[in-house]
Amino acid sequence: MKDNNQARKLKPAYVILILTLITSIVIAISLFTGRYPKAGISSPTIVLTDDLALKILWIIRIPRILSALLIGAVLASSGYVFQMLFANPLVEPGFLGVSQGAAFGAAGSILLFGYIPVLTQISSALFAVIGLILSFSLASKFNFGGWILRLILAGIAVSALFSSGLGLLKYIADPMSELQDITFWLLGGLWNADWKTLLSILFICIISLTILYLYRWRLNILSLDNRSAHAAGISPVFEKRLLLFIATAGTAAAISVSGLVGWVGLIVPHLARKLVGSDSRFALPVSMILGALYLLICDTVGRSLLAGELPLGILTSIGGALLFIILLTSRKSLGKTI
Amino acid sequence: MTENIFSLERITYTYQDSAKTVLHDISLDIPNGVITSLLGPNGSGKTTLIDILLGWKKPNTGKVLVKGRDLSSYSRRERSKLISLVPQNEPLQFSFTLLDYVLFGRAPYLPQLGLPGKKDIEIAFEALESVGLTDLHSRSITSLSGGERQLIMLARSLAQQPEILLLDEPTSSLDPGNTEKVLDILQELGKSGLTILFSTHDPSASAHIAEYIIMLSEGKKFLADKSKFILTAENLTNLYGAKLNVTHVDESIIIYRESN
Amino acid sequence: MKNKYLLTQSSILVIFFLLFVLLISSCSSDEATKNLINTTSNTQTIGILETNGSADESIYKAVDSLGRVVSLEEKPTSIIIAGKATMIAADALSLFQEYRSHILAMGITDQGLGDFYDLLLPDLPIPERLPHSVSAEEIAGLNPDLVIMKDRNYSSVGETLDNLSYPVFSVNLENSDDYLQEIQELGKLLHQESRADEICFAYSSRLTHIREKLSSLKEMQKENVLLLYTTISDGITSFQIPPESWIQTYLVKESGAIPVWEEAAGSISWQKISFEQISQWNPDRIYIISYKTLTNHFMEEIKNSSLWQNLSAYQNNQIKSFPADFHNWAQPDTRWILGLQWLAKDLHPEIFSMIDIEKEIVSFYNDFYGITETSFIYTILDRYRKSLLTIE
Repeated sequence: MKDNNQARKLKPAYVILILTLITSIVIAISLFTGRYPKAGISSPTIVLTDDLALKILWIIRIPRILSALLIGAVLASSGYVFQMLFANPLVEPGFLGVSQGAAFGAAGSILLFGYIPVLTQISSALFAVIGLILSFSLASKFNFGGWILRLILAGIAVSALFSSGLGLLKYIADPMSELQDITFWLLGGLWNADWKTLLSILFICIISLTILYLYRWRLNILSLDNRSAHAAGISPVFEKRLLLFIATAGTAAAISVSGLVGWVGLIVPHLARKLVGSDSRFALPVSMILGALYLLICDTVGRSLLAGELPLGILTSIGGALLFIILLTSRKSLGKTI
Repeated sequence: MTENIFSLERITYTYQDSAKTVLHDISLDIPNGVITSLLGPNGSGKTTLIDILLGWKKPNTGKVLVKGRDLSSYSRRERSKLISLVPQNEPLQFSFTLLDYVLFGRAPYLPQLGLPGKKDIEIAFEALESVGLTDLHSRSITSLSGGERQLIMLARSLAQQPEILLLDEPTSSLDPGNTEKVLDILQELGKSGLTILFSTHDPSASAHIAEYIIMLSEGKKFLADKSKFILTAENLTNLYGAKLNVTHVDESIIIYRESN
Repeated sequence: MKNKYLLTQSSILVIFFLLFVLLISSCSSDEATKNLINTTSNTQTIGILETNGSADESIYKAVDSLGRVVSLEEKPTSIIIAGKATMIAADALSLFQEYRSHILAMGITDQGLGDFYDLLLPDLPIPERLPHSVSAEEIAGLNPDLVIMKDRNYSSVGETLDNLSYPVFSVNLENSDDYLQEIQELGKLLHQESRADEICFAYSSRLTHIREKLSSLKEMQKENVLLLYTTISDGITSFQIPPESWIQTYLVKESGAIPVWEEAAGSISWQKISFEQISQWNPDRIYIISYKTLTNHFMEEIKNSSLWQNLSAYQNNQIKSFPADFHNWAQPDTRWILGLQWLAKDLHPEIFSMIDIEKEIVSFYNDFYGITETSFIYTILDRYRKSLLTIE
């Protein structure tokens, strides 16, 4: 008997189990996929007996796969948290100037001080938060439309500001380059993900994921009216700011390594909710796993399909756009969100 | 046992940005263990008063005492175990199940990062039971009708196991049938010793279940007394600025507009 | 059911869109753009009007690389060379010694390794150095009577200048044929046909020499070569391969080797590739090109990399820098012939044992630029020697 009003369709435990299984399989496949010894998937025996292949595995592929998983989980969970805290399923950090601020901060720091991971992280997080604050204050100064509309419009403006700021930085610093340097930041990619970069963001990302995971039930209540949250004994303003900051910091760290990779934070939470319902207790962890899986698939395809690397942001956008269309055209999708 | 559970002394509230004063020097008491109605026309400051009782807004002057203690001296947790709120409506962005939604009311009893346990689920089911929505517990809240929405918000507040239940215009957007339903449930709850305060602009609702009525007009306390004394044609006409009359049918008080 | 229909419809839409995009991107290229400009503006006369239809001795006229007829009534004495890749056009014009003193303004010619013009024109005041992204307005404001630019700049700057009646002569110069043909046309424009013949002869004699020596080379004797343009940005080193139509690919083919990247190359510009791809090709020889800096940093990185150590080219000491003096020789600059000679000799030392690159450098600068002073030559040789690095 099919009840279309059932909010939770599948048992969360099963979903998480199956997703973890799928992710493990994809990880295993990714380990043996690339351009060497041949384009595409190579047989494990060949890879494990070839010296160079083993080195490639250890030095290039494993850190890259781990980075994709970590960054995917962070971007998805940050997107999820943003959606809960703004009580709107149509936001993601990329909409509110957070991602662009992060890219701007990271690129600027590298330009000024060279590539020093700690400085880059700090600068990235700083400008990501500035982006968020700017979007907020700008939105409160608009005087038309509902709050969410204003926020998104402000976010567009702030994102544009930071993107063009990024372009300007690069141009002034190196006016003779062919603009290719910017494509990394604007289109994203993981070709520089090695053990060093992974370790540099591991701490912040794990902390971000852990804290958000711990708050997963509380997130539900924070998505309610501030007054109702207050009535339930919560300090909504403080907790929202805390979680926003943590989500932003995680996102910033991820973007400082991967460049601007969008759509993950928007689409994956939707998919997660479709699978296990809207309760964040389950939807958040599922988002994390799904995000990791999604980014891993995109990255593996991007680095193996052609001789030249396809930018990660392009692949996540293609997938994201497709899934978005599917979501929008299915009946019970966004409800009364807009 | 104290007579009055709430005591407000000379409360003033002014909005910061617009400098508009919504409550002028109000002093009133809310009796313990009975159903009180906060009655007044639109814009009389009912919602602001409830916000202050909830601790959500801080008055510019005056004191709010709950059970003899200053409201601000209660910790958030203490306060939320004592007082809960049923808002007028809530935006429904996510399709939580009814059970999950009611469980949110258990927040004061859980540690900050805690998850609801078996006991909490039991209490949630009891709350659902008291509003008659147990069968729909696995449905999504977005599929509820207007009346059902009000009930589910009530259930959530009940799961909070408060001593005081504040309701902000619970029946203002409901049709007569649903209004009746909600008021009946409130009446039932009132019998268990719960202090209930609900705001409304509809004197019939007050008449129906309230034992005590506070009339509010333009941010000032107009009158406050037991309902049987206060609901007179004269008082109502003065409160609303429209000619209203009162009559008694059986045990009920009926309010109607007087035609010339 | 309506759901499924919408779903399929939307998916098909997206897939078609992607195919469309892929199609467009693979078709477009410099050639296509050039042809586009060609067909829309075939033999359109620009510049000062011709007095009558017949060829006039006093008219300075030629056809540029975009197929446009450029015609001047008087000898050009205020020439501006600007836009992206200024040095390619500048180095070509400077082959005509007389015209060096007629340069009114020039773009930046220092790619990062030094400015040839500090040495070439130390006494002549070149007043203004124009930035790469100079606007047509700026150029027009200086009132040149001839503007020479790499054809890539035509759509952005050249066309506007044309419309303002400033004559623009575009050069492509991406392979040996281009050089021979375009230098001739440039010679016609400047009434320096005999000088143009000299230059072309200098190129073709060297080229013929190489072709003759390689004529008996069998296909299977040809080695697999990989040219990598190496850059560092945001602290990350990346390796890029050139398009098939560019001079870098041409150099490898002309020097009797196989460019392994040909099939994988992009059509418009440099394309980034991963180490995995490099190891899949596992070429016999790898040449590292850097335009803005010497290759020391990159060679150091490669030398210390545990990954690169597994490549045959590494193990056989066949990872080398592509040489440079003021400019790296692997680009469409006049020095391409030196690049070709050097590469041919490096690939086939026995066949080209009679070639002494340093002697070739001296004769190059003599024949092409008329430079004979020892101090100048010494500077160039010094730069050349410093640019040669091998991983051993």
